[in-house]
Amino acid sequence: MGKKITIEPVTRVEGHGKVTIHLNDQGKVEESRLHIVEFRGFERFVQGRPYWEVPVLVQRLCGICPVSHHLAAAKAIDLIVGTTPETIPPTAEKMRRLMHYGQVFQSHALHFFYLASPDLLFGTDAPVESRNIVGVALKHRDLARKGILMRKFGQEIILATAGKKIHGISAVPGGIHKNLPIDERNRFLHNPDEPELTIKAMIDWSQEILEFYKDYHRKNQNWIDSFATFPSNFLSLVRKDGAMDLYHGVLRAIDTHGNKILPDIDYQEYLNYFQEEVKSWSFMKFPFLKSLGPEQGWYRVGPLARVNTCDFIPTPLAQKELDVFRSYTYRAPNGMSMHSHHARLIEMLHCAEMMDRLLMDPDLQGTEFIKKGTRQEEGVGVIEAPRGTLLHHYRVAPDDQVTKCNLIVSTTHNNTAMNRAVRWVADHQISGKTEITEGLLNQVEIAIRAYDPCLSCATHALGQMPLEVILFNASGEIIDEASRS
Amino acid sequence: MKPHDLKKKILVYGIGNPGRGDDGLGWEVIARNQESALPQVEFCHQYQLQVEDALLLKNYEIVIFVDASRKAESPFNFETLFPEPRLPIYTHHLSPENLLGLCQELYSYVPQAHILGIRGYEWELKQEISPPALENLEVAIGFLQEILKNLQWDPILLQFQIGAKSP
Repeated sequence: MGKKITIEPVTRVEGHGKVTIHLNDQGKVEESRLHIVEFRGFERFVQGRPYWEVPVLVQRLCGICPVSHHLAAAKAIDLIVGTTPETIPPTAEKMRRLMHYGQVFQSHALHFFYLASPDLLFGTDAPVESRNIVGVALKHRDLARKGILMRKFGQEIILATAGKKIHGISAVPGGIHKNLPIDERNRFLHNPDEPELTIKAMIDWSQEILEFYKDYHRKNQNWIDSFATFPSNFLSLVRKDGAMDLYHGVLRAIDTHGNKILPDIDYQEYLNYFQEEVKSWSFMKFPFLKSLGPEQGWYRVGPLARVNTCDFIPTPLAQKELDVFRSYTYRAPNGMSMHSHHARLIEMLHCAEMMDRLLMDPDLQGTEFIKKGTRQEEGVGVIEAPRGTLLHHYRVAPDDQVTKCNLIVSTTHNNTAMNRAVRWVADHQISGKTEITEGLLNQVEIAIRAYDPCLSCATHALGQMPLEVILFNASGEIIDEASRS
Repeated sequence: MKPHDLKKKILVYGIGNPGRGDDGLGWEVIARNQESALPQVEFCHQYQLQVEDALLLKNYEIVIFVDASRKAESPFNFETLFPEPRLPIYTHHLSPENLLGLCQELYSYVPQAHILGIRGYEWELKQEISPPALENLEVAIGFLQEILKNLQWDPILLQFQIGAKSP
């Protein structure tokens, strides 16, 4: 009699998902799936709203990465009001960039310290009660303290640029509605109330955490290199000259050998290149490159993709770290899922360097906030959110109401990749075992967490689900179940 | 052990989601009180507690969490909180007790802490507080204001004495 093992929901992932693994009578994996079971239908109820509400409204998709939605929507609506990322005033562009780097910085800190580090520090067999940041704090106090301060710093940047830490309001169609006064700027250079919260400290700590991780990798090389490793294509924005650019650029995809399979396209044309497949067992779609079809055209997005697709990083310390990262694979694209953590930390350093650069830019105190031109009917905004490429597409009627909304979020881009990772774990770690331990089940979650998924975004969902584990036989009958609340 | 460099002694911290009916009770308490200009009292609100709130807590001698409650007896419960050594499974759902535990571990300090749990009844997606919850809110606000005016520092027990009586 076959068994179906269910992990529901996946802990320490924003939002909730369910993993099912179906074993045959011999205990071998026949099938595994990451089911996304929540649905809210954001794309539908944005329709009919006036376009100027969109940058604020779409942030309600997610309390974890609202800034990314705020900015992607603003970039799309910029085109509606007749401006572009290249023509908005410098103050607006740089305020938005600073906001974005603050967001990515604190999000990466959140993921590494709170979500990934318990696994890295305690291993896959640690009790579930210790596999969280409180557990990290108990055993690695200095690391936990710095993680919390780095997250706080990023949130303070968001507060200063977006107006609020969550669901900010400052990006408006055609620009921004505030600048960064010099006294507020100075607080990030020297903070008498909290002396550790300075941009220089953030750069230093980012480097320190990178050294911690590299040391960790040296000691745990085998499992980091082999765990959930598989070849894939990669997609991200890059600047027109090939530099890493998390805020704006052209869309590039490469294959597992580094060959371009999407040659730096204008993302306004994305529908010519991408398609989304729907499967009956998940509310999350499966995007792919049309030219290669659904089986070959799927790809990964996020930090690992970005360090693979870019030609260089335009900040010196992060570029140096990228050289180290790339030397490990002799400059070939890196397909090792757990190396996402290393890539994430390189990006965290890059964001710290970019924030340092922007904080010294006098354009942040400029007074031209908005520019508009000839009204358009349609606009696409793409940004590299912490978890990967985020796309917002709107069509607006002459009466200013949104008539079409299409959102492809990072976690959706990674849908196939996450399913492949779950299958890898199932094949390598669960097949043929006579006992299913919690450590084995946690490895499935580790594989998913390397992609830092935000399932709230991917289904535009909200709400709480009790934790249920359901065991089915091959006939679909429940033979065991347990719950956690 | 007291934290050094204290600027304010008392924090009133409202938690909840004002977009979900009575879950906005915590925020409403803050909104009604933050202009009160009581000495050494600060007010803040947040959707949910996060680990970085441990940084905030270490700056106060007493913290009063204010939240809606599904289980409190009407109109509210008022309880003392203690650090919780049992770790949460979900970092997204940090309780005040977990936060106190984290503060203790990171900064070797725990403020005196209480929770004012106001009984709520309706939790759907809407921005209004239900009429019965509003009644509880008024009583709770009166109670809170009395606490804040009458807090007495006990130098023997090294804690604040709560002067007001809960119903």
